[in-house]
Amino acid sequence: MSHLDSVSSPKTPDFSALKSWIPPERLITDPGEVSVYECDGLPLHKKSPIAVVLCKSEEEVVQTVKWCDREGLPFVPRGAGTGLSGGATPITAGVIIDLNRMNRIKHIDAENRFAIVEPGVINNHLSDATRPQGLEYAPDPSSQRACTIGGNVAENSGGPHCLKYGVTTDHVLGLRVVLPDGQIVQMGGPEIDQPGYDLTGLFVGTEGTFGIVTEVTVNLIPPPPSVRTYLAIFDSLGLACRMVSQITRSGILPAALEIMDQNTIRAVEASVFRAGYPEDAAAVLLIETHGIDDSLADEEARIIEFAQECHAIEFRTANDEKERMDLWKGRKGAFGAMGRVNTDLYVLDGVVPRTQLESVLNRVGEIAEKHQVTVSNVFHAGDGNLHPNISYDGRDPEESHRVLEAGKEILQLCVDSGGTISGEHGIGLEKSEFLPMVFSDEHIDTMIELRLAVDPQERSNPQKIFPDNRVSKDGGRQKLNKVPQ
Amino acid sequence: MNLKTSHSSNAQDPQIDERFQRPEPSTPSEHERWCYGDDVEVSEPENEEELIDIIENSAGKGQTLIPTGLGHHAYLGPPPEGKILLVSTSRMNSIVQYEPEDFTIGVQAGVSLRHFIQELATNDQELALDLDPQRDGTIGGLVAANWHGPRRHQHGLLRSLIIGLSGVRANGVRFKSGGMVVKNVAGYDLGKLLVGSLGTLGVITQINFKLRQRSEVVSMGLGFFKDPEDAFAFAQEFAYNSVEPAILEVFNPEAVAGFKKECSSSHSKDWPSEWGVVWKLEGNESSVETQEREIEALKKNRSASASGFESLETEDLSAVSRYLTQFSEPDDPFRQDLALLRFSLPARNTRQLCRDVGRIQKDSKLLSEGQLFSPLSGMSVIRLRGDRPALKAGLTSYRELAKEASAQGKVLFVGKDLRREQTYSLRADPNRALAEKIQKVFDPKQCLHRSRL
Amino acid sequence: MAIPKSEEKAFKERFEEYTQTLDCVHCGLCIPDCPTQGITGRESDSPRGRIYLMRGYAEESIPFTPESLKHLDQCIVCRNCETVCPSGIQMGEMMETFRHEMNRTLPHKGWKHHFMKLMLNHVVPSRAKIAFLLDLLYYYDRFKLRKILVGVGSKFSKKLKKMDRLFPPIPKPSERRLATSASIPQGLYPSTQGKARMKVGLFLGCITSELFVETHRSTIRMLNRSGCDVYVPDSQTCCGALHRHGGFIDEAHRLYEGNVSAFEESGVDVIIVNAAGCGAALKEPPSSLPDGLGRPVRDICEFLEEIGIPEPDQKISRKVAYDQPCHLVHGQKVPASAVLSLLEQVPGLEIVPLRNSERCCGSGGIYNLLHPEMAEPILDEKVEDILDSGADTIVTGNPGCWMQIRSGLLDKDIEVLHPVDLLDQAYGA
Repeated sequence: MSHLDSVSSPKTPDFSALKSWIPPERLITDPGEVSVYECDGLPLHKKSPIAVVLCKSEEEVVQTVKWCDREGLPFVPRGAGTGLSGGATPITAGVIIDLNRMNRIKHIDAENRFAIVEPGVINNHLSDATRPQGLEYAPDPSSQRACTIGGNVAENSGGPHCLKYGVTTDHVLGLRVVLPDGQIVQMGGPEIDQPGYDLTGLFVGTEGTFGIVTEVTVNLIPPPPSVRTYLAIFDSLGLACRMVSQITRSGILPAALEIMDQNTIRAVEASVFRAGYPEDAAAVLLIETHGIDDSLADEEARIIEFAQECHAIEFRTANDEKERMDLWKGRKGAFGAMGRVNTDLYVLDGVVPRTQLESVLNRVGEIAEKHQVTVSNVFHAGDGNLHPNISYDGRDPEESHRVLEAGKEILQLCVDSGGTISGEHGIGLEKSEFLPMVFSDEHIDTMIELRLAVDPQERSNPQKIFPDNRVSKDGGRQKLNKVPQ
Repeated sequence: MNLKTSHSSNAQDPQIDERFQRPEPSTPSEHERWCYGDDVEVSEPENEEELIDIIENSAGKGQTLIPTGLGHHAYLGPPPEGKILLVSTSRMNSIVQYEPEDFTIGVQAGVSLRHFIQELATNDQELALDLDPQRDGTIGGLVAANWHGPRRHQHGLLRSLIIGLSGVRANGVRFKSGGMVVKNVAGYDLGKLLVGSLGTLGVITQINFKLRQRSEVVSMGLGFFKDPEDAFAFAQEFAYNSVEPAILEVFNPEAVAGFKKECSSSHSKDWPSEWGVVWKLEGNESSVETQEREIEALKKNRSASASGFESLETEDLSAVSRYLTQFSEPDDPFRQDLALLRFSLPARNTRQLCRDVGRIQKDSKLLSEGQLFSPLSGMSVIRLRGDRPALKAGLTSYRELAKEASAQGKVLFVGKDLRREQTYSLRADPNRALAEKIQKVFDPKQCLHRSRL
Repeated sequence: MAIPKSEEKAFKERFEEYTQTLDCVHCGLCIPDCPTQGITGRESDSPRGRIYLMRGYAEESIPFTPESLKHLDQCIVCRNCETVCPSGIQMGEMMETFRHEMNRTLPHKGWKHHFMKLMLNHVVPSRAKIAFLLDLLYYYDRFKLRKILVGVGSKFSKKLKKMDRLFPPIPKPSERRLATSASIPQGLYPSTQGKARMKVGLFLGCITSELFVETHRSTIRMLNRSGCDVYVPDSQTCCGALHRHGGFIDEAHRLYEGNVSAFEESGVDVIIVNAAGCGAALKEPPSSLPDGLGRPVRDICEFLEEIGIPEPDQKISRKVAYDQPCHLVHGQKVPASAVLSLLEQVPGLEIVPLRNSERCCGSGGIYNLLHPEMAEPILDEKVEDILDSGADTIVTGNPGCWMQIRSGLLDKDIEVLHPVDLLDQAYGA
């Protein structure tokens, strides 16, 4: 029997106990101020929390979680609030436990190549801190200037360079987690051969439904001996995709393969991030290789061959770090540049097999036309992770509806092509209704049961990932309750 | 400088060990009976529906269900008590979907290792794991046992190579994670949970992997040192330059005997029984050449302390590779006098571990059949031989060492007599309670052999 | 507290910059660069949060509470977010317009507001009044009244002591008066490099004109050395920056118009400003005056880098770091290289990097007086960065920053100067 009934009632929680742990400057209850926490990087879904607690230590997290348990309140962990699937949105009201003040890098072990950090450490800051010791933290989501390691762990974030180096879960060695009942669990560690189950591997990507991470042990890697960056320009998106398929087929594993289509290029060139991409190009492909220089030279010869075979109209090579930054500038600014096109931006995240890129993108274009929406494609072509972005005016309900319909069709297309509905942004709120596209009822039941085993009262980030009311084989026993809003 | 374009792994015809063959359908093999006793039934469903039927029908019969492939790793962990039903995936052995151009493959759990390797070889591809085609066994078994070999440092473990996994829980309900694409965050990563779970959660029925191109060029070398400290010093140098070895291990003199046994060349007979370093480079021609040049410089630095360096020819290269791959497995799982231990700790501490092992060995009645220490991945494996009391005492000492050194690790093999009293992990699982909660989700009626892990 | 019912619709309509808030895609990339969010960790103290509040108020989807409004007040308007925002939001303009609307709409207002209004609208625009006030302060200082009052007062109020630290010793009245063109021969400070290649105007500012007169003198000397005649109009007035930041936009416009008149008949080719805050305000004229001051406005370092300075002949043995004033790097988009390339020409000078040099020091015009609880921790971080740099000299081209940083280094052996003061020292004659 869960305590969700008490969540739906308007009873005001008793903050006095919490106040003995949390100083006033880190407890937010003002109705105006809590509104800024009603969504994360996905403004589509909004709900104000009852309170926001900025925790500075694990002990404060434990006390807050226990308090939530006693008060019957759900809680939502939040890092920088830059997520794109509504993972940090307090959709059932409740308490936001904000980790951005827990931002210490506790320990860097350069010889053994790992670091221990608090969850609020900003992704970029970690690499900045380890670089003087000749090491870096590999996963580089596009929001790395602002997003936190804790958030990366919750969503299993990727980034352009995860093609070669792997995603977050490949670089997390251990975690300290506060479970929804307030218990602290230490899992994993710098030693690879841990006893029992790979709980660390399970927890990464659970989107805050299994509790709150209070410490992360991460793997660090030395920077590559050599880096080469190129930009291939095409007069057809299909040809750009074909070149990606060619590179994949050849066995070359670049560090990054990113494509931007014409709509994106135009948005970028019209913004402060203009990078000198030709506006009449149909697509640009950014290629980066990492490794031993001689080997890269060999790969370069083959890459140039592929570019020729795919009729690239131009091929640029970065000759120094500045030129490299210039080539990347447009890609890094793409998301923000698209924000200028219209008042709202719907960022989609789907994956298809690399060999399907060309045909899928043609279909995406058709879907866009059918629903009369403008799609700008920027994506991690190297692992088939698409981001078809739709600019629209969120104040127009009719247009908003068409945008959502187009998004749904695109995701179904990804699944039908052998792919999936999320590559790095997570399911969160945004895609929970689409989970049945890739999982059967039984599959979803298994995951829900697992979630309920760890969080029987459904306190930890409720209503994320799973659509409501999945009925299990046992007939109604395992139901996630929908909280009336 | 010796550049080898190898892949002569199919050179020798794999020999069939009758003891691992099931004499008739649904009858346990000799090895399975050795491990589990005589009260053993075997079911070999042909598909998932049959599998679910078998699972559901066995409920309430008081049998312990053990998901199995061909039982090659049945020796892992303490054996179960009482009646046993081996639920074998050996007939669920088709390749479901192979996309060579996308470098992905999905196989049923019962696909044999040989079949798997051969299929991938047709496109010059491989799974980035040390796989020995001479050994038989199923892919499902590999995953359930979390198999890994010396290339783990460069390529990662199975957890990084699996892009999708599905199976059936002990209550007959299916589970799934991932798919056929290399990037996927939809749903929970149950694949991670199942890797190495030794059949305590359910039956894995299908696994999807991401693949790699087989390296154009492979090269291996050995360096011999009288003093293990010198061997480590040499190995440590590899970490501080742009050499990216696929394998880097420090070995003890007994391992050399093992090398020699595998190698057929006359040249190898001259190898001294000393400590040493073995390395393997893989890649395209220019990258291997560049790395070899760097290694030449390293060799020059250390020539004073080294007894000698060897570059391996094709046949020896395959042989030594095979030895290194098989090192973590018993040559004969029917042995009672063998123990295999694997330690894992931060890479820098490997040197000290080696000293500690030496210290324990001095006082122990156990003989070393070889020791491998990896200063890059922090994993080390030691092979020990002795009679039962010596093995017992030795295992106790090594468990204590693991605790003192804050190392983790596994007992990869002990003989049947000792198996009941030896836990699979060297150290206790601090998260037992949470693990049990999770296990109960997969096995609510507790029919699986939970205490194996 | 709420917006009076009668004003609600008008408020929304008048909130002109509302559509600009729609440029924000809520990505959050601005957050790590915001100094106030760095201190409190609250979303409401970040640019994204503030824009969200403004949009929410305008759309009436967020309750209008004093607590949430407080966080909007706490924006320093350092505009660091403008530099890093991928969508190109104009935070400065948005915040100014919003505060203007708040001033007009809300019935409030505490003593702080009235005091600020008094100072800004009645004292600051008049250089005569400022001079008078500073004369008083000079005597207060000279006759140890300051020492006594602060000594006693700090026992009761730590705040008093801290505020006092901000103000440097007041120079003597006679030293403080810079002769404007009304009172010097030919109205010009003539070029010292033979025939002048151009005639430039010097903007004096309000407080700067009196407290930082030496910097004006160095500025004039550097301009003269670089071949410029300098004209200093007498009738010029305050730039209006503080008024804009405080939301008194009408007054700010009036002042701008005053400066347009002052420089109209001056015949100068370029107007030089040595205070970054003033420079930003003058470079961004109100929409009703699209031609601005009628001629280009340049920061002194920006200008000297453009036209080139003569080779210095004096060696200066110092270890110097450059702290970038927000309104120069973010407001005027003048990169650090403009200043550094000048300093590099001075023999003997060792230039050391300063971590987070583009990050605010907490001065923010009079922000440090209005919000000391935020300005102080921000200053502490700046001081830490300065100490780590190893510099013995800090240069910064804004009087507010100068005062703020200096107040954090009083017990250290580090001198704070305007870059043009340091350059001036590199010339013998």
